Amino acid sequence: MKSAKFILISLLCIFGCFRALPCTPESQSGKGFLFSVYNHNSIADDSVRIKNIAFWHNYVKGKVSDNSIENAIYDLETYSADNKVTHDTSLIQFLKKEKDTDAVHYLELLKQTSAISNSYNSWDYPSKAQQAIYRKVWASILIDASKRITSSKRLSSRYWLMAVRAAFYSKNASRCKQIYAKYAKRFRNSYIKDLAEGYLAYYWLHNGQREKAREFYAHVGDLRSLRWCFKDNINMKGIKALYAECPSSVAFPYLIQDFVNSRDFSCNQYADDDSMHNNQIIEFCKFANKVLKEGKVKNPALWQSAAAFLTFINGHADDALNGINKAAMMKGTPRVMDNIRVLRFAIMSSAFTRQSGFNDYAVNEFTWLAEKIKSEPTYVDYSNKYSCRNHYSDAYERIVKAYLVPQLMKNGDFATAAAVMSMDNEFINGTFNNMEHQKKVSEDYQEGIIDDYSNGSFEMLDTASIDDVRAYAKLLMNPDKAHSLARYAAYKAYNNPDFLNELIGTKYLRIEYFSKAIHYLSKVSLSYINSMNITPYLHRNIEIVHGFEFLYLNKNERDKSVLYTTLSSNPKLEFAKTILATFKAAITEKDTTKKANLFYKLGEYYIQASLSGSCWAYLHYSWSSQSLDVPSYGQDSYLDNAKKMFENSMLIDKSDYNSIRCLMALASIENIPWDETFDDGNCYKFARFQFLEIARYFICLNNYRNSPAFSDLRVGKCDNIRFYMESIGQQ
Amino acid sequence: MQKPLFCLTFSLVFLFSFSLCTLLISCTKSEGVPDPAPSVYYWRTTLNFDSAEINFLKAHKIGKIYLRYFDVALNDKGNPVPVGTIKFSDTIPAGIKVIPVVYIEPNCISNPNDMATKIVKRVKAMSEANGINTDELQIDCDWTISSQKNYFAMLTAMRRLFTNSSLRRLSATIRLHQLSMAVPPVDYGVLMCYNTGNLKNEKCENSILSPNVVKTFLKPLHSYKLPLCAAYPAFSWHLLFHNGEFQAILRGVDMSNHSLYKMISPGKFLVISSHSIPSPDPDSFGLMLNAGEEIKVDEVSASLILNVKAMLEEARPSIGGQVIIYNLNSNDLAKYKSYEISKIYSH
Repeated sequence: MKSAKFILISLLCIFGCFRALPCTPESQSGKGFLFSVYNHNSIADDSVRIKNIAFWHNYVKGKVSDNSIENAIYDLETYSADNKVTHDTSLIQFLKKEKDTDAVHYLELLKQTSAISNSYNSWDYPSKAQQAIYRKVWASILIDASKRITSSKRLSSRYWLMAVRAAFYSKNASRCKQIYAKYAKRFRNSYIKDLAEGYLAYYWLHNGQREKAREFYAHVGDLRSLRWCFKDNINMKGIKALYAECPSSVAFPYLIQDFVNSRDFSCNQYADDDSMHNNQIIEFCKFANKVLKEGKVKNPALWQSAAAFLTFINGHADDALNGINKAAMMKGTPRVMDNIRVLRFAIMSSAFTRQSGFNDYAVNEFTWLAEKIKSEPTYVDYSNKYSCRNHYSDAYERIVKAYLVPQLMKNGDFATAAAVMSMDNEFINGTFNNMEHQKKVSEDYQEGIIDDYSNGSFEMLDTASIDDVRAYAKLLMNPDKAHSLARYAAYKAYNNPDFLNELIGTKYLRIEYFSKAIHYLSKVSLSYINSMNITPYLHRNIEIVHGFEFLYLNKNERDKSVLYTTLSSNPKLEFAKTILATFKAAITEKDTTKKANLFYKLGEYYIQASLSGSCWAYLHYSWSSQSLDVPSYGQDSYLDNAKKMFENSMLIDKSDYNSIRCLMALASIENIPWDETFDDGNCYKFARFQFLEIARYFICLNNYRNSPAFSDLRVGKCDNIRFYMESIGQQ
Repeated sequence: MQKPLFCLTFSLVFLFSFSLCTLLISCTKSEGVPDPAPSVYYWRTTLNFDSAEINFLKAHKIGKIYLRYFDVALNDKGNPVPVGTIKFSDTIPAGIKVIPVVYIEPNCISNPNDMATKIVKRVKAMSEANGINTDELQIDCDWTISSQKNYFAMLTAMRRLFTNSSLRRLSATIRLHQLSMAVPPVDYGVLMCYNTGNLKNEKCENSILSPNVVKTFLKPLHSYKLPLCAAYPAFSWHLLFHNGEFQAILRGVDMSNHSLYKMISPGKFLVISSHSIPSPDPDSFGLMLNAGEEIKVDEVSASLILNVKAMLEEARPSIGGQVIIYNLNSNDLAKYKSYEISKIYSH
């Protein structure tokens, strides 16, 4: 009677209607900075090199390779097959063949300047006499190039630049300035003019015209040189000092961006224990107010938006929104105004998603942001093979992950949140990088890492309730019925019925709704099952129980295989069918031995499909520390149920054989030694743990040690029980 | 009858003289360095003295400047090339002897003869071009057992090249761990008593100079078969750590700014507010110091130097014949009082 009641309760638990567990969103925070009034990545700008190569490419009508052009104009060393230094002469040979004496002459002069410039770091250090010769060479280049400025038909601007340079290196400042001034207007529309002006900027910087030099470097985008012009003006102290020197300095976007982003970083990382952080923000905001009142700056929107954003990261969204709206009405450069729009979107997404019109606003902003991403130069993010990134893609990700998704989740709109998250993932890793989803999956599979099962969108779905995931699937199936943001995101999200059915089916498996699991898993194509990250692990044999190896005579029976062959059926689906059929058989079976055997089998199935079993891939998508730290929905009940099944079996068939194997199984479920010594974290100090729960089973087993079934079942081969027997002095 | 006595006397005198000479030669071989004088290393890439440095040279009667001319390192094609060649923007004050120093990475000496030729030729060219009269060359190399053969071969080849040249003397730096290895074929060595610890290890007590570390290397010092002098550090560095992991050596950080740094223990500071500092990296506007990171300040007091100096001179008195301070930099040297520097130089 007792056993019948126990079985009934167990079965009710198993087949009972569990309410879905509350989901625990694990949305990743975007990592990029939001405040960007200049493109920091353009510091490694090589546009001059590209323009130079393009010029010569056009000059020779593409008849010399760009590589040879680059080698020639930058006098780069090349290496022969026997590793000897050579010089690529293709360009000059071609020009000689074309009888272009002007260009040949120019390249020869260019080569001379390179040789002189590089000589101080070559093995052949120039002697005093050589140095004197070099000075003469510069002087002769100066004369030669100066003459050809007017006579050369196609290279006049280049001869001009060479003359300016020669004057500079001849330490003839007045001549340098004179030549520059004479022709600057003539070549004003050429990038060569900027290069020539760079030599003058050196004089400006050293003669006290610091702002003039800064303006020049900012204008040409030479951020490295610009940096040197204000390297001592950083942080609040530096900002104040520069304002005192030049209130409308071109350096402010760089200084302010640096300051704001350092506060932003500090806020993200150490907000709780950084009291100085607030003081610095307050100090900046006060100073920005003073600056704006004085009205001396040309770019007030920069100061106002920086103050508003700092107010936002300090936790005052309402004030920040007012501030940023005010900034939007002020005068600012186009980049500053774009930045204000990004900041406003972030602020709105973080706290104002319930405002009427937000969804339409968000769609509009996402559309704009997507275009900005495409127009901004990208840099390669080496941490992610698909991610070439830029500031706007960083901003897009941060708005989604740090503000909008958490806010939508807070509003209870999981479907939209998941769609936005997936849209972000598809856009950043896919569309933006011209990578089709399927192509990416197949490339991923070759490398054994599939983004579909490791990105933020997946984590969100994997940890969500079934109801939420079903609502999300419904949105993807019928986006037109949803509100504008949900609809916009749904159309851009990863929408693969196989992916969603597999996910929902697996979720039902986890909570043991086997019939529903079968319903969803049946819809998944076999080709999809064969393309998943877990496919190699799905080959494992559920009948050979991990942790019970001592029971098997033949070691080959142990099955921990990872196979890269094609599956002919879906093991998850087969498992759901098998466990359901075994349950039905166990309930209806009249013969106690057979009934006990069926419950014992069910216990084994539960162990196998749990995270501790070799068939963990039935319920999980990875077996890693991460998957243990981030609880997947419903993952913990399988081991408990295994225990119940063995206990049921033991109650039904109390024979020595069944009791011994059930006790062994119960003791082995956790797959840990019953008595172990652990490092308790202090060096050389160990703590001893005895798992009394396991020892309890061993005490019972000890009562059977004289039974023939004890040796028949090879129990003595189990290290765990052997150590226990030794510890109590019996073997 | 007198002849044998004479012969015997002569023989005894000869033997005595020979023994004395041998003894003197052997003593010289392992004793003090030639032409000792208070000295400094100059390790910057531009030769440019400020007034404090000129005053230092005068006040302490500096007789020699060991001037780093250039380094030799592998380029991206794997070929050894000169890098960081010093730019001569100033002249050496009259009366001070210059000893060119070349730092070479051990993996650059795959062809010892070729490397010796290139270095000697370049050093001569640099000296001539910049009006420096010198008769000595010093090589600085962190050689080990695996690179010893090539390194020694290069030094031997260099000495051969000195024939018919103004260069007459070859010296080498000796790291503490090299004391227990073979003696390089040079005229004398400079024992480098700095960088004794691992600067990347936050737990290292003082990565610049630690008497306890020096002590562990002193056993072979007494019998080291090469004239030696010692170089002592007069510098400090600020080391940035993030979660115990070394990040960078910082320059120009003002640790007295209490709004940015908080002292958590002697020589250790916590960054309490994220901020940027000027970065040596040209790709960066500034090096970001993040709140929560730690800055370890390793510096060497005069008493610490004197402590190590006493230890070395006890083990080998002649090592104090010449002291070299590393390195001539007014910012670092300003931390020492004049009498402390004099004590360090005193023998």
